[in-house]
Amino acid sequence: MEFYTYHDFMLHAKNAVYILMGLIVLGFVGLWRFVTARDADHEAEHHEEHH
Amino acid sequence: MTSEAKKSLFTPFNVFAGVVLLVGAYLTVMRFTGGLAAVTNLDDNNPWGIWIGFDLLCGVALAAGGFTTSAAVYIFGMKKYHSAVRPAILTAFLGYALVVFALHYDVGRPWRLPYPIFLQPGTTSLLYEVGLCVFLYLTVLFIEYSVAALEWLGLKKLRGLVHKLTLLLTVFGVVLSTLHQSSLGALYLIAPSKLHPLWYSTYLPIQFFVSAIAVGLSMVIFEGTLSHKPFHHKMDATYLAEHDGVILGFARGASIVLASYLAIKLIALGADNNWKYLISGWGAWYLVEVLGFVALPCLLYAIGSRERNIRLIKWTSGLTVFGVVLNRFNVSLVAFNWQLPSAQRYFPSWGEIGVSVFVVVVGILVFRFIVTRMPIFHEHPDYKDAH
Repeated sequence: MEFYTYHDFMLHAKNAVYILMGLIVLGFVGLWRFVTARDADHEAEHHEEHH
Repeated sequence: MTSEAKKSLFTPFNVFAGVVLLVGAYLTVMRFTGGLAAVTNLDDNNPWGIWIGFDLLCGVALAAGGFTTSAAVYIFGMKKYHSAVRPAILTAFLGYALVVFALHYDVGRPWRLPYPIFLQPGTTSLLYEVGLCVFLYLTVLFIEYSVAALEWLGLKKLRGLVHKLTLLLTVFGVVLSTLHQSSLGALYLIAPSKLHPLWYSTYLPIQFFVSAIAVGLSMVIFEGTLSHKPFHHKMDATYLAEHDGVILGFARGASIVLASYLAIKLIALGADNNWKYLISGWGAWYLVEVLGFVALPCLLYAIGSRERNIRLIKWTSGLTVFGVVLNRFNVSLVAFNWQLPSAQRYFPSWGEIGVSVFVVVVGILVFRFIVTRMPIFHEHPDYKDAH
């Protein structure tokens, strides 16, 4: 992609970063849900072991 | 000496360490009698070699477990990780002490190391900021570590006094670490024409800081794993009971921090519009670093934490540690001066590698000396639950 002005460059780069940031936020939600998905099961197991 | 004592002295590691110490002593004499040229491949194009790229950049990053663990326990109140604090503080203290020790080999006139602190402060220099922070943080770590040494020495009054400073020292340690971990990355902002665009970014300071947190958490797991077998007899019931919880908790934290690091790396690529470099040889190497040693450990930590797979987490901690070492090597050595013809590129001499190995072995020996004597993996009987 050709850039003729600094404004062209910044517009393109910032557009890319804003899209990335949106995807990253969604990615974090997904990661958190993935990591914590088994917490309730593990807690229940732990609870059973103690009784 | 009895035959049993001889047997315990001449273990494979001790023999290896003995050889490394002898080689290190020889290289030390060479370095301080013949100058830097006698043992290094450094020149005007490459004034910073592995003594900076490995001993300093990696040493400081790998020692980040100290401030992350103590912040988790004393600032965020995660008391369930308390047994990990002392080993982490000791590793951090030795890490920083060895950074300063190794710096004596690297700077031309090491006796002038205190000059910027006491005589000629260059307050507009990042290097001054790094030097001041390392000087202050090494002092903080020494005081934090000294609680264990004072318990061992039986100096109860002094120990009580130092122990009261714990929270203050932790806060001070976090502030200083935030400053100099990022400033080590900021040092490279001065060289946009020398560092390859894939690694050069105005986000370098925050990349260095965030990756230091990830590797700090990983080092606690990694060091705990390595210590488990040789020092098992020194670990008390509390340490052993909390060990798996520390690994699982730190793995979850490291997964989130690595995801943040990956995000910052991606944003840096986008902000500078450097995508085109990805389809080149340098791009392939960059992707090896980012996908293989940031994205992959992030995913493996997440799986390990979710499935409670301790074995997977332990292997992942090694992968993360290697990944951050690779990143520091890429920034300071591999991608630095990338435009120079290969004949003028830097490759460390055997002397430089020897001194770096010597420094690491000295660290391991001091660590072993301390943990076999002082209450690091166990609580001192006089101070049970006195934290």
